Amino acid sequence: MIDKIIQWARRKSPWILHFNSGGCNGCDIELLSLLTPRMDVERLGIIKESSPRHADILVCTGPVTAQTEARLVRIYEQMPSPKWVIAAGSCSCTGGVFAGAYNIHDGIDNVLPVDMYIPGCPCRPEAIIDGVVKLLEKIE
Amino acid sequence: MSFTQAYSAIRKISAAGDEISYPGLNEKQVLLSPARLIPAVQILLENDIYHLSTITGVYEDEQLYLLYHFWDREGLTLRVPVDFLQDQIQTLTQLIPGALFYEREIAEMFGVHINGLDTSQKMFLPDNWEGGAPMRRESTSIPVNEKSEGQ
Amino acid sequence: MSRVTIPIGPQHPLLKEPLSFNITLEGENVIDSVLRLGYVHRGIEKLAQSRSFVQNITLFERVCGICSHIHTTTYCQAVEGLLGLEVPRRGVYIRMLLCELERIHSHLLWLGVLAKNIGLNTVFMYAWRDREIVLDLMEEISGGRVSHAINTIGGVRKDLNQDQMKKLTVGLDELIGRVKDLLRIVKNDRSFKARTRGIGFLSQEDVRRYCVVGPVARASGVGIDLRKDAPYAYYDELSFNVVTMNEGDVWARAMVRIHETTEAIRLCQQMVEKLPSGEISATMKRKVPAGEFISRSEAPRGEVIYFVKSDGSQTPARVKVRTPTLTALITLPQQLRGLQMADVSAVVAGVDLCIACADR
Repeated sequence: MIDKIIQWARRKSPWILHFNSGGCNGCDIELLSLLTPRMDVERLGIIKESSPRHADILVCTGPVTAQTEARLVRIYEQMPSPKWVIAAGSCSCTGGVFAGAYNIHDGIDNVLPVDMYIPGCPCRPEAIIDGVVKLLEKIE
Repeated sequence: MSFTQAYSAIRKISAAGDEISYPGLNEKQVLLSPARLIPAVQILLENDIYHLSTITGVYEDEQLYLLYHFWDREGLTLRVPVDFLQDQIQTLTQLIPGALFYEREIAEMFGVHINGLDTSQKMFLPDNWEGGAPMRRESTSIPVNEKSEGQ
Repeated sequence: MSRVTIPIGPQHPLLKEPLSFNITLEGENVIDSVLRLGYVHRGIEKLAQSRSFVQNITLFERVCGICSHIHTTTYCQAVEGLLGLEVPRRGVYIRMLLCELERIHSHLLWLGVLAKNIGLNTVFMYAWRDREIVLDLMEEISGGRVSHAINTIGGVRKDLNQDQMKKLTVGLDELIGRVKDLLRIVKNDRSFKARTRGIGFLSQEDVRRYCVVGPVARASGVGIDLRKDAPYAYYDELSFNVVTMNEGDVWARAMVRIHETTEAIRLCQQMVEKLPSGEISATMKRKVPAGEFISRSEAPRGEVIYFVKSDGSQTPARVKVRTPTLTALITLPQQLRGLQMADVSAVVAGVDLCIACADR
């Protein structure tokens, strides 16, 4: 019974943690604009959380730089299970324009297991919402 | 007015004496030996030219130059050759505190030793960086992701 | 009193981008702070040396997502300087138009972030709601909300038609009213002033010593603005004011930025009115001759410099990017010293840090 309630809550109200692992801000401001009146994802039950310990879904933007790598893994480890990772933007999917630079690990999937890729440079807010919704369907 | 004065005063202490011109260059430039850098900056500051835009490291064939871009309604660049065997570049931070991050960047990216600059902490590169100065011409820094795949 | 060190970042609700600083506290007062950059360092300058001049436009657009257009504009100006290419007037005007729209977008975004950091969520929502108007206009012109990809060496890639001009006029008129509302809040709202006045102080002398540029310098009474002092493009044909304040605190920076937004809207309106007819881009010559060129421009946060050196080959021999945030970061420990812990968020937001620009 309790499991069912938790499952229902998880499905209806995913809490999102945003981490910029080395991106250019483009995807970050698109992600932030989800909170604002035009998109307003809170009406869909999606809340942007600040602490990894409260979050269900980690949304990463940007390629992984060598300096953030250890921090990214640590943030992921701090999140309670079950947890999912979304790679938002072309850079975090594959490295994008920065692929091959000396300081980056290309895509997020080199460091963490990724459940959903959202391409686009930068990805549009609508695409991010769509990605989260598709991930929720996948969870079910 | 003071800009022209400063420019001619610096040209007097310049190593080349003459104006150096590179094709296409759109701002004034003076070639200086490393020892003359500090006196030149003092001349600029006396003439109220205080804005250091940035410091660029650039290779001319095999020789590395540091370009100190100053600006006061028009640009003036001091061009200083770097000799890696003799550490002659002095820090400007006593005169211009704003030069701190530019100098640290140059020291880290090109491996230039700058006298009087604290470079014990990394600035841009990761804490566990082992590749040497990445912007050096002979640099063979392997991208970090290829390194991890190779292991 | 015992001292406590509080680490902030790289992942922190206060910061939109990864930056880390350790703040040493004595009681509630900040004694010292140590910065660590490099979380967003991607090695763009090195990467640029292995890509062709045209490919690099795409790369430099991604130095920073907020002021992406000014980076490509400055880079294109430099390469055009090397080529000796004359850009058609209409092309330059469309570039300038996007530069100013981007300034509006950046300043509104900043106001929202500042308001959020000091707990005024309403203003955050207002500012970001109004920002959507600019984003729509930019999307209308270029096809992209954040990255525009409209610049090319020799001009721009997309022309404006009558329909778009009409939408621009309507959108800009609406914005003027919205910005007036925001100005009223910043100027009069008691809680906004209580949280921002008298903190993060930088004197005129400090601004000069640390080579600080942009709105932060202008809020401390140093009225440098490259659009006025060393006009590039066709800024000398347009009329606008350089806004300066003398207080030098976070509130003054907010006032400067809001007034600048109004000026930017005025500039846009003038440009729509004066938009010359003709070609939008010149044909680029294949081969970039050897040489050096320094291109300067005024980004939303201050002076941007591109130093481009070509050795006559397909790829640039060196591209140096100078971004305005780097010097503002040096002053941060000084601004924070002696403040209460609770004011740290306002000061950090107040300088409008762009870490992606600073790290490159």
